[in-house]
Amino acid sequence: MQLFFLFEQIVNGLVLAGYYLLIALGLSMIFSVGGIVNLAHGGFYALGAYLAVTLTPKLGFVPAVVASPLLIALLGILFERFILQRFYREDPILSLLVTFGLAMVAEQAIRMIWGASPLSQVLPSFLKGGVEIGPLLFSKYRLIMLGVVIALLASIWLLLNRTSFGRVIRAGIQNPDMVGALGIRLQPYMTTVVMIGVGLAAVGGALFSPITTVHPAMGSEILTIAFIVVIIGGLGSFWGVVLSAILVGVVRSVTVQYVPAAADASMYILMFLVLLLRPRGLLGERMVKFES
Amino acid sequence: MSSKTRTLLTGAIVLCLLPFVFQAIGLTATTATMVVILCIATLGLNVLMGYTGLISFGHAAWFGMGGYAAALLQKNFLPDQLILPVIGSMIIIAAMSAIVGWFILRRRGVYFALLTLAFTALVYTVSYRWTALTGGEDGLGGFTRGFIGPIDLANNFTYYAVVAVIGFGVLYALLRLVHSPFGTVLVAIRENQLRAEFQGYDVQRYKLIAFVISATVTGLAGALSGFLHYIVTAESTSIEFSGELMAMVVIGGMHAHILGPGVGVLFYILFRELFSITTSNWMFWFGLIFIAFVMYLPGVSSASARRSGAGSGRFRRKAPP
Repeated sequence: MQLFFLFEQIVNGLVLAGYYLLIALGLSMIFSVGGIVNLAHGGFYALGAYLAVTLTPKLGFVPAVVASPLLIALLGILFERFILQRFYREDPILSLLVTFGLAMVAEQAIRMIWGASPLSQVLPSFLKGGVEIGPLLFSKYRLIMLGVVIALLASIWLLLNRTSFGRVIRAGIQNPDMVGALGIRLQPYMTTVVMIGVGLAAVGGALFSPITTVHPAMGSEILTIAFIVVIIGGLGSFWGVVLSAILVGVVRSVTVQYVPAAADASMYILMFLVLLLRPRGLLGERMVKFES
Repeated sequence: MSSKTRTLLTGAIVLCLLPFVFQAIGLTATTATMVVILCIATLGLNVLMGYTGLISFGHAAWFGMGGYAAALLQKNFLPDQLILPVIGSMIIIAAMSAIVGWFILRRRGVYFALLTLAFTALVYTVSYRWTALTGGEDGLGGFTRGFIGPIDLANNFTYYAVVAVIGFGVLYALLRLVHSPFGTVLVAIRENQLRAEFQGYDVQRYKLIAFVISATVTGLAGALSGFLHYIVTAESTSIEFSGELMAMVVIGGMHAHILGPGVGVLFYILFRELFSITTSNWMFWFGLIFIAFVMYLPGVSSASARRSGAGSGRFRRKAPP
């Protein structure tokens, strides 16, 4: 029985991992292609959640969850065009500062538009309830979420590894100068990467709005965790981020069950352990430009 | 008159006039004290950001821990003292920052900034949750400003005077520091770490010492802030507060001048005090101004142009390693 219980926690941890992954993956992509540390990423996540909550009474739950990330992706185009584009050639520290300011502005804007008190999102009845598998009971909605995350993950992987678009992106991560020498401008690709990245964050916000509280500071809360996931996984590595999201999610959900007081601290301890043993994260590669 | 003397004189005059000017425009002596305290904190942060070129999101952690350490020392061991708990908290912060710095400084650039971010988040979680030690959500209170000899510091002007003297001392010490050979090496590390290494400097040691000095000075400011408000809260260790400190340094012009952060602090406090009268969303506007400063301010971007020449640009030609 104890073992079943542990298994249940591990599955819950995987759901949590999917949640972290949606935010961390976009962060990692924007970072590895553009060299931008996007501290405003949490803001897009929070906006995604708020938009989904606002649109649900008008469109219904499922269309709202689909529409909100699309709108945020459009916002991502503006974000890339008017802000990020100025910083590709600059010291990464500057984009760190700008996106930090932007995160601050996004959080305050949410407070101004939607108020400081938390909102709640209602789950439609056909998504409620549980699924029994043998002796185990899982929430139906969490399983669906896990499915959506895996589907998104698979399509991103296919996009990066099986299309000509992905080939340019991967080449851009490896050697942007050579991509330029071949006559390919990376900047239009960056627009798409930022769109996908912030869109994924908004998917996270919209999908998780029914099971977390939707409040103005949710963006800055998730951002720290997302960065820890990226740091543990190693910058610029797709599978590193996936692996570390699973690790952080499962460790967290198991510690919540057995040592609740240490739940928040567990991921920091994990991070310090990984960094002691592997300074560039689990699967990270050495990138000179981020270490000067 | 040398530029150093001029800087010190400017600092002294501003410190003397500040409470009176503030009263004339309807602000209190407490606000003036907070300005000086934030100046101390940002002077400390600027040793790292402006002079060594390391961006730290972790200084709220030192600020908050300095406050907690001083308050706990006074409550438990040194009743009615001010100077001893403050010195004690500085020693504690120096020791802790030496350990944390040794670990975090193994990474450079963006990685370093992200690790300080994670460190602040960890400290915030601990101070928010460890209610037995820090009072958790309610904050840590129940201590006094104490006495220096026969002087009672409960009076706001007296306390301002003490903080101002300490602030002047910090300014003097840091001015000496940045103009010393040690400070010159820090600037060399900022401009090009590799070249500094080739010159035979133990870069890692210099960075660690700068980190410890920076953290300790900010911790001192945190201790003084705790005594000013009679309370230390978890909010003072938050990432938001780290960002506000950073914003003040950036708005002050980073390494344009040692007094730069002071200008940033004045801007921040006046902005907050004057805007919060008319709107509760002053943070929104402050954030926008901060973004504008980073995007358009010549001081910030020219500094970065110089620095990115060291090979950190993404789409430009790489400088030889």
